[in-house]
Amino acid sequence: MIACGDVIETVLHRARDPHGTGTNREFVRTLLNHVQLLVNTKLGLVTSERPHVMKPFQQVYGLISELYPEIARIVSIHYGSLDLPMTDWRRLHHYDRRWFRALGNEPKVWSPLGRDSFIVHPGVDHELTVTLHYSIIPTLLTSDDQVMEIPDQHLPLVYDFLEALLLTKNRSLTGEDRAILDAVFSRSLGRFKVDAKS
Amino acid sequence: MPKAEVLNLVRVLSNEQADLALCDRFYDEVVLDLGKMPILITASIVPLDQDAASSPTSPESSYVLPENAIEALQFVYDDRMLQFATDRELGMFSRLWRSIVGTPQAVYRGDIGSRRFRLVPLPDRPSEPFIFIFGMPMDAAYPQYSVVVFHTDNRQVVPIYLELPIAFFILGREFSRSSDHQDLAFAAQCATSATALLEMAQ
Repeated sequence: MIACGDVIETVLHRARDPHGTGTNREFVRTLLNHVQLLVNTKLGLVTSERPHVMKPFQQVYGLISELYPEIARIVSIHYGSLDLPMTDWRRLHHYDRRWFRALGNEPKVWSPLGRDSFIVHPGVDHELTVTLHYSIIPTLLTSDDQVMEIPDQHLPLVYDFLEALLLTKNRSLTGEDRAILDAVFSRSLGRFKVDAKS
Repeated sequence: MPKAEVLNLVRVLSNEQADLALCDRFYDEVVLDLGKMPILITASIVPLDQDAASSPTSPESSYVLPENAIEALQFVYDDRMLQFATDRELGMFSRLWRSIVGTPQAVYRGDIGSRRFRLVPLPDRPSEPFIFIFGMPMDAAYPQYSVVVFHTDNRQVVPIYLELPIAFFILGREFSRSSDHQDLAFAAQCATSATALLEMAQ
């Protein structure tokens, strides 16, 4: 496991600012917090689980970021040992045009509703607990000694994005640099797609 | 406060060049722009009164979207999903579609203003009272015969994973406008960065 301070050293070096003259270490750490959150949001590298109590008749649950501030993205939902299939919420009416108030004995499917809400269908007439499996919001890095939660093999993604952002901030914007940054973004996003398939 | 956090990111990322008073406004604009994408979606209930059916040609025959709605994505009447329909489609169904009263089957968004919608047929009864003593609007206390709109949400407080993309979108606007610190190359790069970061957040 790599310490946050080592990541900052590496990235400052890659961004041609090894002494942190253009950008101080504290702000690099702030950016690192955002970047590791975004990487984990996209890839679900560090996940956890928590119970969620379904209320009678309710299928739509909003404001996840306020209800469960530890959740970056819901990856899957389980009911007992059953993995609920995920479906696009716009397709729910293909199953049942009256899905919105439909009741059943147990939940059958779930749908993300944008990034901050979700639907569990059908509703039930009593309280019932499902399990949310989610990408975590990583612990805020406040000192160089803290260890990164993102697994080491995925840190190159964090380096790439952080370097690109620092070069942007420091306006190292020659034509070549811009081409490099575009390559960094497309390579990283391409890697997201590869990882998402695997 | 996320807005203050975002503006602080903008301040440092711009090397203190950005006009923060303007960036404050850009924040609101960017949040509205994000509403064109299905990122922050909410379901809101709209009460229906009897006026729509009693005077089908009056402005009351249409209803107003919730205040925090940016784009309406889907409509539910009571428990039924409504189809979007154009005036041409409705005209094929009946030339008198504007005055037919019954159980709504479709929703019409044309020529009545971007923040209004009309139910077709017009509802033949008002919503049940909005009394949420024994529950919340979306659970057992859901008032029958009302409309639920699924819409993108205009929020001042955005989730933390949107803060960095929003900061870069703001920088893109701030440095592309005419000013003593205009920097089009930097603005373009910020816009590219913002799009890549938003892709990660979605």
